Amino acid sequence: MIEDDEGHARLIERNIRRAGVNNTILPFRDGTTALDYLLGSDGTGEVSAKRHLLILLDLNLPDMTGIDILEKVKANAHTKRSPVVVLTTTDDQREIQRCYDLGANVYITKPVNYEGFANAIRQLGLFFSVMQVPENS
Amino acid sequence: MIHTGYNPALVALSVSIAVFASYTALDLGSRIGRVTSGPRWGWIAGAAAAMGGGIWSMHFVGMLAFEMGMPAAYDVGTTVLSLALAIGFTGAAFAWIGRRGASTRDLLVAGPVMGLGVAAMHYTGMAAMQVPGNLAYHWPVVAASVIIAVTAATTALWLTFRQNSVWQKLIAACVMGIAVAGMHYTGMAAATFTPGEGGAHAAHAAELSHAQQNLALAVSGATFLILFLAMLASSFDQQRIQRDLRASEARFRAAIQAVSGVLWTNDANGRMVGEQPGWSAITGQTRAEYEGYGWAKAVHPDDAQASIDAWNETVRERRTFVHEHRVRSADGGWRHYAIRAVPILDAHGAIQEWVGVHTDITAQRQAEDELRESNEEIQRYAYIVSHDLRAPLVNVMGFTSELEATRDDVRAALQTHPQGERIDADLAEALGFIKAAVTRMESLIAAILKLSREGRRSFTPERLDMTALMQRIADAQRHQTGQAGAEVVVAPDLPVISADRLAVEQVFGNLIDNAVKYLDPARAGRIEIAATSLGGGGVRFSVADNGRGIAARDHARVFELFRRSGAQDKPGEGIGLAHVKALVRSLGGRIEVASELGVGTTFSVTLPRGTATGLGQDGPPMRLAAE
Repeated sequence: MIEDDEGHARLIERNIRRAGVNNTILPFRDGTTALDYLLGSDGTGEVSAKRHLLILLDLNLPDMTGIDILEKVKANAHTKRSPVVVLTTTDDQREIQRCYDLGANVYITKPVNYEGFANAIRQLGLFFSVMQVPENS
Repeated sequence: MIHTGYNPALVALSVSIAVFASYTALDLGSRIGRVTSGPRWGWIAGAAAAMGGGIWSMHFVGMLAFEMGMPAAYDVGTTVLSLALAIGFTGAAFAWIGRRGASTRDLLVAGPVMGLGVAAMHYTGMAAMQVPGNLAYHWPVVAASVIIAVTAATTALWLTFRQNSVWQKLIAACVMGIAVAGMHYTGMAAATFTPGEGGAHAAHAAELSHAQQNLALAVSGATFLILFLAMLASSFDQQRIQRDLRASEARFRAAIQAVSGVLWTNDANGRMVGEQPGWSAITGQTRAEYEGYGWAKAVHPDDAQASIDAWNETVRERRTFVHEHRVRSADGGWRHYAIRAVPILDAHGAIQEWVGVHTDITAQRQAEDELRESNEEIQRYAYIVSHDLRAPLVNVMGFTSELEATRDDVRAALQTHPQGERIDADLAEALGFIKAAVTRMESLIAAILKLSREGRRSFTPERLDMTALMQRIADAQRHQTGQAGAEVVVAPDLPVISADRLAVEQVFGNLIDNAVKYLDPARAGRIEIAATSLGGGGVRFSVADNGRGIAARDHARVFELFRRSGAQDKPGEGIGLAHVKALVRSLGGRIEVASELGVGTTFSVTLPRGTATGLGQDGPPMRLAAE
């Protein structure tokens, strides 16, 4: 989970858990540490081989945009199969198209009010609980 | 038959009187047409007196120059009559030709009248002469004298009213003077004197001749004095006219300067010619540089071709030129100018020249750019603020809900605590306030976001039949209207405008919704929608209700975000009118409110009829005054 707002990260985690998802959730608060984990310090992505990863991505990050991360993940042979769920406040049509063009699997706009937000995350959690995540090569 | 002859000096004097009198009369006469009112008759009378008096005086001196070797006396009554005839006929001729709208054809009336006047004067003057003998006329020569008078007078008048240059006037005066004198001496040639019973005494005649010369000098002296005074009056008038002209020109230049503009002229074909001090001053171009289409070299390269094309099209279509472009100043910088030019037409409707004004709008342009930038900045700012404020708000709301979810656990833990119930109640109250405040804040942020989005929206103008559009809005609200027992009346003749449909629907939807919402329950509600066409391509729509009204102190406030007026007994956020105002402004219009508490409210929305281009502002071409 790459999300710079700690509160949002906690709320997302809690609501996903409530939907019955028990997998490990690793929170990253900026793009650099997230890319380090995903592609390794050498940037080859070999570290992610054999991992089962689902990436929850916010587009507004302090050090880079989520689109940079999306691009790198989908361009890397070891990480390109990992489903990427973009979860962000932006509802700009061009941004959404761009993300899908780059290989994003799901794009969700964070609902404005909390009720909607909590509901959306719970639905997402339910979706995750039935979803097949492939092993990276 | 007696011996007759002429005194050459007096003949010369008589001719010069005729020429001088003609010049004076024609000079005065040419002023008749320029006077718009008042002294018009004064100039006619002056010209008639100068001409008539001059002719008479010429005749009198001419008679004195005539040496017929016998005593002559003059009948005073008939002599005065001859003077009156001369003045009357010439006055009539000047009045006829000086009429407004007189044409060349009128010369064929005025010329003969004047010629006949000259002839009538001469023969009446002859009749006034009492000589001791018989006077006989040779009729064919008399006829010739009249023809000379008529032809020459017509020619002289034609010359006078055709041109105003001093030389032309002088030639006209010579023609007229020679006409008068020629007529006189031809008339004299037609006369034959036969001495009577008394006979003539040469010695007596010589003595008489001496007295005649003195009389001739006295008459011509008086005539010259009168004519000189008339010329003096005329020259004062000329000076006054020139002073007025100079003042008017100075005023005109000051006016152009006052609007920070410069004046230029182009010839009928749209080419810049001659001295253009204004254009030279702003561009530093010399006459050789700007002549023809050379001026375009001082126009910004990006604007030059468009300017030339627009100008040529204007010249072809003979309409008012309205344009804007950048011009290189003498110091090398670029300045923005708004240009207007009109064709000046001559009396026949042909273009004489083009007169244009370049108005410096650089400062205005800069202010506009700055305003647009700061507007965009505010919108960006509003968007970012509202967008970013929502993120922490989700946390506040989210963790408040989380807290609430833990209340059961807390309550269980507090069961044994002595203050347990109070703590639980405090907790509930605090959570309640937090949630209410967050909900409120959320709606405020959403409103700001919506407003800033409206400002960024791009509009797509389309043809809107406003009667149909308003009727649809009214129908959509029929449920609320029916509940309030009110009716919405849409005028059947609302105009068709070109604007963004959604924006216009939102504007009038909000206004009609408000009108229905704030009706006065004390009377049957009636909401009228009408429109008036304004000059300059605008339409003012009005939504008038007979509802509870808005207090005067709130008229400006109702358009502010989150502000509401009057009793707060209806649901609402105070967003509608702020939204309407932002939309109307984006549409290029404006909104005003007129309202009286307890009587009703009228909202007036002025919208442009279509997309403004500046091409619709053509005025009629300027017509040159009688000059």
